[in-house]
Amino acid sequence: MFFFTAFVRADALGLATELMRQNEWELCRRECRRARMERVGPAERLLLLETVASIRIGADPAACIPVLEGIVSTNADRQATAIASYELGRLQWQAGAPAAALDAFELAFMTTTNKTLFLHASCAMFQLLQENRSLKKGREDLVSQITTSRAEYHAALFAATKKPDPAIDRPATPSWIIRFYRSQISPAIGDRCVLHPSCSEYYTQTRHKHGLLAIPMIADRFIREPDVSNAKARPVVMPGGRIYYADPVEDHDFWMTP
Amino acid sequence: MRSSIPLLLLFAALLPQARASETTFLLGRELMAEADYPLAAVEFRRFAMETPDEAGQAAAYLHAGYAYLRAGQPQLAGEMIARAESSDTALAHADAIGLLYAESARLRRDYDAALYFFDVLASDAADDAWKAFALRRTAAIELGRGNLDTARASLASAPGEASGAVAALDAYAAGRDKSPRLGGLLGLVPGLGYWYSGEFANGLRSLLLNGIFIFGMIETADDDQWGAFTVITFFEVTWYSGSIYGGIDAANRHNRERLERASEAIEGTLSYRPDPEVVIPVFKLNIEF
Repeated sequence: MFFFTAFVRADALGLATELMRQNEWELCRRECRRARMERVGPAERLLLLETVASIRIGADPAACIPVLEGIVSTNADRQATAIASYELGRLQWQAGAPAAALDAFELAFMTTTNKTLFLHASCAMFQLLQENRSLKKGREDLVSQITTSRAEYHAALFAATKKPDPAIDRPATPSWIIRFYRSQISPAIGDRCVLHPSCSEYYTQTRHKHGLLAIPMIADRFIREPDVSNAKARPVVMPGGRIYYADPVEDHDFWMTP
Repeated sequence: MRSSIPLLLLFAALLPQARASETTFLLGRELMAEADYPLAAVEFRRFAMETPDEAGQAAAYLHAGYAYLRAGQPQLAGEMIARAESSDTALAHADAIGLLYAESARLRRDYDAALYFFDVLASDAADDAWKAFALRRTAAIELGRGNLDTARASLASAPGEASGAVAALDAYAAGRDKSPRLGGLLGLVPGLGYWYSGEFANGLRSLLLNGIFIFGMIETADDDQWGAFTVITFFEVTWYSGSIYGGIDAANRHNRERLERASEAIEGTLSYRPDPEVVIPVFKLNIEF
């Protein structure tokens, strides 16, 4: 997100840009929305930041693509157009539209005056063309331009511009057994777990973090549950007013990490 | 008279801006009072960006740094404190900056850096409460590193009454940690790993559950009910592996709780927070008992 540093200034946009750089995406999105509602700062850049923050949070790409396309087609702000075009390329690559992604990356590559974005767009196109060699046909000029910046690619750049995999950033998804328990068994027997997170959520988190070790960890949790609920040591009041007792995964895997 | 009109117009234009900034600062304070620390930090940062006054900026960044510390985001706290430190007015906040840097490093588990800042604070701070705070924090960090003699020396040089802290340190030194490896080995006998760390009820539950399921395995095998045997065995493997894991985890939790109890006694009831009476954008950190 370092090419957003081009936006740095001492106002709402500056604060939103800083929050984006610090990966505080939800706060960044809120800051952008607030500034746009108050009509403070450049609306197009704020909208772009808000959209990118939404993408990072995991918003539906189908809802974000039209916003980015709108910014690109308006072309009122050259730098915003270049960034929007790059982000659009990534979303389209992720959505399985490599030709459209290549067009978007090419626009970012040709438009930007920011060297970081230039290299990102170039490296993304390089990797996209490696994956879809047929797209090279008729684009010999573009391929030769990409090749000229090949010497400046490095491992971190390759990692940052590889094909987006939404599964990497997605929170742990429950396994089929947990989904079955939640949809079929839990409604029948009621919400019995008094610990926070619930046992099914605890299992999902441990499976995501530690794989097969989740099995002994959940067995250990079942054994300890009466002790933790009787101790009432760390109450967590939920929005409905019901009290749970905290027993996070971090309390039981802290010794596994240095 | 005519020349004063543009000046009045300028004041009229600037006044709402100044009010807006002050409101931002007050909103930050209110959010902090409601323990909504990340949002409070953003309001302080907004204030710092809006205000032209350098002293106000530094104060707002220190408030933001404090809010990030309370939110458990030491990296961002460090960044905010560094911004305050780069201000020309930083000297006025030297002790507060040192303390916040030390706390930020402690939360990041960069104990060398934390010890450095606490050491500077202990030697430079004019107020005894600040010295006591720094030396007690130093003792707690040294205890966590296993340097009991250094911890004892820090407590000895801390101003004020420290007999409770010294007693806690002695009690910690007299006690012994549990071995997670031995806990895991004992866990091979269901429940014994929990018992080793003093969790008797958990050990009993583990023994009962494993006993019931092993009995079920034997009975179903005797009756050639291999389908039921497979299902029961699956659950028994889960309970049995849980007993081994539980033995290791219980020993680690036991050691951590022992250390935390001693650290809390050493650190005492000393805490710090920005002066709640301050309503204009300045930063004053109070050490509280």
